[in-house]
Amino acid sequence: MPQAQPLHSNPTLAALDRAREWFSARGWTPFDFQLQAWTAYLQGRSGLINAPTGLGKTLAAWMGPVAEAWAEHPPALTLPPPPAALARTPNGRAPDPRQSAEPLRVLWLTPLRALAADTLASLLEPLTPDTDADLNSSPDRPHLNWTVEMRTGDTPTALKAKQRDRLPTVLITTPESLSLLLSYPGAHSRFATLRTVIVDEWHELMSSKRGAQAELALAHLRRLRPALRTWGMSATIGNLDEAMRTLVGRPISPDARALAPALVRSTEHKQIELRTLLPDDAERFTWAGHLGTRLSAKVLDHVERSPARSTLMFCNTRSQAEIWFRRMLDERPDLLGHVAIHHGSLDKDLRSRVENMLDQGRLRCVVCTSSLDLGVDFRPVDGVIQLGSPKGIARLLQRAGRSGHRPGAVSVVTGVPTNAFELVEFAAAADLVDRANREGSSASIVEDRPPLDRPIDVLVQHLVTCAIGDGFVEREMLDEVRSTVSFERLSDDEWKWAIDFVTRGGEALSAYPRYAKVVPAPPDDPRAGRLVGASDAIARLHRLTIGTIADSAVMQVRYWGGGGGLVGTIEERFIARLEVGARFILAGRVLELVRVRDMTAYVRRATNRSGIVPRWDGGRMSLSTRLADGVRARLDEARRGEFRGPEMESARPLLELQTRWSILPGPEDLLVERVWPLGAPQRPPDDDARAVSRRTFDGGGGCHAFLYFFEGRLVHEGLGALLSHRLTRLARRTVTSTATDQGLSLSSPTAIDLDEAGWRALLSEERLFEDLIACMNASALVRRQFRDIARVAGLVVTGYPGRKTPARQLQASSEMFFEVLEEFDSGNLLVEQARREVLEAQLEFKRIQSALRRALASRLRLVELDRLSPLGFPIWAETIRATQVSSEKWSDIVQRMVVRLEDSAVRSERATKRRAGGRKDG
Amino acid sequence: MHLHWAGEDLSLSADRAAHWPRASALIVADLHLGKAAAYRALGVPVPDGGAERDLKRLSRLIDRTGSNWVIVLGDLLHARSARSEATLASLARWRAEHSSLRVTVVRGNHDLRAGDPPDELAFECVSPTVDASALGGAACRASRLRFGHEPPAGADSDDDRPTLCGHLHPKVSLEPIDGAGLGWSAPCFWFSRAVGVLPAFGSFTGGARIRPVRGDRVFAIGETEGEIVEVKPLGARGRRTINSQPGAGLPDR
Repeated sequence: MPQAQPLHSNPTLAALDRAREWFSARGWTPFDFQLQAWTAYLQGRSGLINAPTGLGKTLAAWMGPVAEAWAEHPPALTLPPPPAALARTPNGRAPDPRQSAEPLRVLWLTPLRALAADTLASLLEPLTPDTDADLNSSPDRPHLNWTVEMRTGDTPTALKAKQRDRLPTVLITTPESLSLLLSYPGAHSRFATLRTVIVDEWHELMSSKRGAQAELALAHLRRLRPALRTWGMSATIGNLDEAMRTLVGRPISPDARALAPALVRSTEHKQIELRTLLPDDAERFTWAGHLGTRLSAKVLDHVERSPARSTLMFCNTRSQAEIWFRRMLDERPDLLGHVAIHHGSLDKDLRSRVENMLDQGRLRCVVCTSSLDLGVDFRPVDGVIQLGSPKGIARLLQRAGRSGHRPGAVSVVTGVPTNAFELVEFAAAADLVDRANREGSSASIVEDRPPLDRPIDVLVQHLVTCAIGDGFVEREMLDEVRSTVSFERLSDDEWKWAIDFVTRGGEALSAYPRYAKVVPAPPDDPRAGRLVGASDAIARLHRLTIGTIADSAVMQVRYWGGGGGLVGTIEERFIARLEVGARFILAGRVLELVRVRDMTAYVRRATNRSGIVPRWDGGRMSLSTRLADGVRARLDEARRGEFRGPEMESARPLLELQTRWSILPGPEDLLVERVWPLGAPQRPPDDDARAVSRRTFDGGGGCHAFLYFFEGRLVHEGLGALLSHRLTRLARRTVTSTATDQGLSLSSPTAIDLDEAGWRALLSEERLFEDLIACMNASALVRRQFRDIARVAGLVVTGYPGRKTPARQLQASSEMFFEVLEEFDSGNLLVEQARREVLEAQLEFKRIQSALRRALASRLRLVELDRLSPLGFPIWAETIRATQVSSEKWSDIVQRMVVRLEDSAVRSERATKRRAGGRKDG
Repeated sequence: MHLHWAGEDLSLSADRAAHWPRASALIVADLHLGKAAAYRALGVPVPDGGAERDLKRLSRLIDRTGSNWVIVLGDLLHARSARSEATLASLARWRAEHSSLRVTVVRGNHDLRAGDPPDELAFECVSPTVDASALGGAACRASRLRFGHEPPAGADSDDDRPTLCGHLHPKVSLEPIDGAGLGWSAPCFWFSRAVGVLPAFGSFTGGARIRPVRGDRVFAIGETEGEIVEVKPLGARGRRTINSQPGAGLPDR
């Protein structure tokens, strides 16, 4: 740490001094990590900043560029310039401040479409002239004539057009909007003065397709500005070094020497206290489900009695948030106006209204999802509830960090189990939290977030983006792409394929006549020698694709008539299954579907009070490896009769029942329960469980085998597909598998008759890879994965919600593409990518392999049951996510199937609807 | 799969066509030829080969049934941009192989935009619906059948003539009787008393889920195995096994 002395000729130290002065004028002292970040920045280095929320992470990244500018500028001479602020419409004759302001210097990249108010305030504060006499403004710290503007999907078109002519000094934007900027010609001059990119919440972006998109865009900017400094902010994750490497990329040309990036970490650790809300009547606590409404009275009581001014109640899914919000208002109508709901599918106006009210301390409780995980630091929030198992420890810490803002304060988070087994998961989480508190760091307990490996769909999208912008030189672009971590392993063949895909549609030998998206610029074109967009129409269509990485296909939900106010967005597939007149719940309101047109669902308020709650995609998270290990350890204790802590005491009746009816497996055991026949109609443990099981309890014949690996849902899904596939090879039958975080079930209408040797053969590691490939092809897994890939790669053009589909004749489903590509272009890397993603991300090949190894090394405990055990029940209740593999003849299966009929009265209404805007695709 | 409907004997094929032996006619709907070409013209890479293969499939059906008449229930061509040289050349080659074949095209919504096939192909084009009796031939004169593209609105009243049509690209959602296992959807033929809807013949076409009512008959097609099976109905108030509506059945409170 350099010891700063006043007034240096060294520009770095001079700038540091000014930053310090600015801090001390406010009575603040910079933290060490802030000084480190500023110093590294001023030395021209890139880096990653890791510090808990509320410790001044934003200023650590931001003061570097600001102080640098202060040091460069001559002291203010005459009149103070007009205050810099968010661009407003210039009134009348006033000259446009945008034109006189400094050109682009800083790009602020955020995963959020709306920057949190406190972040914006932090950014603006050093730019605003000190008016307060107490802050004795320094003549050495000139006023900066900077403009700060946002550019996201929500920015007005007029401002966007102005920004294309001239960017503000500081541009706040998202990865999608940055890509969109690159898709317009003139990037070279547009970014000519850019010095710094600062990426907020990098841990959140990095391991997603949006992260890969950001990596590619940053690499492109580094080509335009070789001295570009890249800074990022990240919460604690297991692989911070890798996160930094991914953020800063590698130098594009081998001879360019970059300064080593700096990993700046705050040594502060926030103490965390996890308390679990326990059911009073543990004997009757629900065995399955993830609603947790059984505890609603307790939760309401907790919120009310809590000394916290405002409480954030984090739900794991948007559906769960909707259900809980309704539940709270049903039980306590007097809370109306004091509680609110916040999740990613709600209209942004509604969300920002809630955020403002929260900031002003006017809300007692906000039921939210990960939508409030990020970026937000609401001072009045001092209570945090985690509804349902957090599934990962990093998420729990992030959420806990929303309370106890003052440095040194303890963050308290209250866990609410939604079923009995989650008591064990909370107990395991508590172990990890204790360890972090003991070690004074969460570094050893949080999970890794790896960057993606070669997402080809993102690459081809980026290639078209750059082509329709300024065009690109193939060789240069390859260097650029390989300078990113996500694509550093891109092979020559894969690169060749990607170029073929955008220029020819597919490999040279396959049949794509008359196709052109990207073409070599004609010789008389100033861009000669580059690959450019084939036409303006193609450019326009492509720009619609750029934004589609973030969400799966969604529709806007608007009120019918009277201005058509926006309620929020909802997944297209959910709406597609609804009839006109069907009721559903969004934003806590019961809505009735009126009609569907132009990617918009029009609704009216329903008078009836009941409606179905939509299930959004991607809601179910898998238990992380660290928590899964913790769960196994806790179960082993329980098996030995040790019930440590209130959570385990509370789960004790369930675990003892499991021991009585079946067994509780130890670390050396693999428990296999076979339930056959299922016997007389079984009474579900309680109504809550019945409700979530989505299945009546009078049917469900067949043979069920339950295997408990305790490896997390993702691994179990993969194992389920594998074992089903192997079972169907043994005999002609259909096997359905379901998975939860604890284990998986295999169900078949005919008996699954395996002895220990048979099970061991089924679990064999032999031909694992081949079998996984085969079962992927047999199941719908790959097709499901291909859906997003087709959208990102521009095969399926959905358009933005609320906008007309750009070309109606382009409506097609990813399913159709999958079939036609498989048949006529088997080498298509996008199809290959879908397989790879399923294998690596979804099936987690390596974890499956180690799970099988562990299973084969364990003692097999085969138990025959005539009813479901407490461990088995939640798996059985989870049919909605089931996957199926069959070796039967198709017609034999259809013999067991039925089509549900409807009353003919609704048919004529439907005919009307179909003409009004029914969609035709798969 | 044999079906007696509207006084006629029809044979439904897993190749997504209906054979009408009495008129020696093969009836298909929604070929959407050149759809891939139309996509490519707009910068969406769809490999070629589908149209060629669909026409070969049609030829095989003609040979197998010995039909001398093909009735297309609309959407022969996908779009104006689908009239690429390659597509029209495939169509001309196909025509040359079946020079004596009678081909009737009931114009569909796509055909109206794409335009009629070139005159030299000698396809007879009619719209919007046509009575079989107006098409000539002894078999037709005695038939009550009518051919169209879009299913007629309000077709359930008594004086309506039974109409064969396409347009919907029907798919049926199936669910297991006993709740053990998963449901899925398959392309299908859908016959109500007065309307028969054929599945889309073209391979790059997608589909829309249908909602049959009591009295309807639905024939599902196995896409890879080439099988066709009549689907058993489960009444609207029948026992529910798996709830097919996502989120349905959740308690409101």
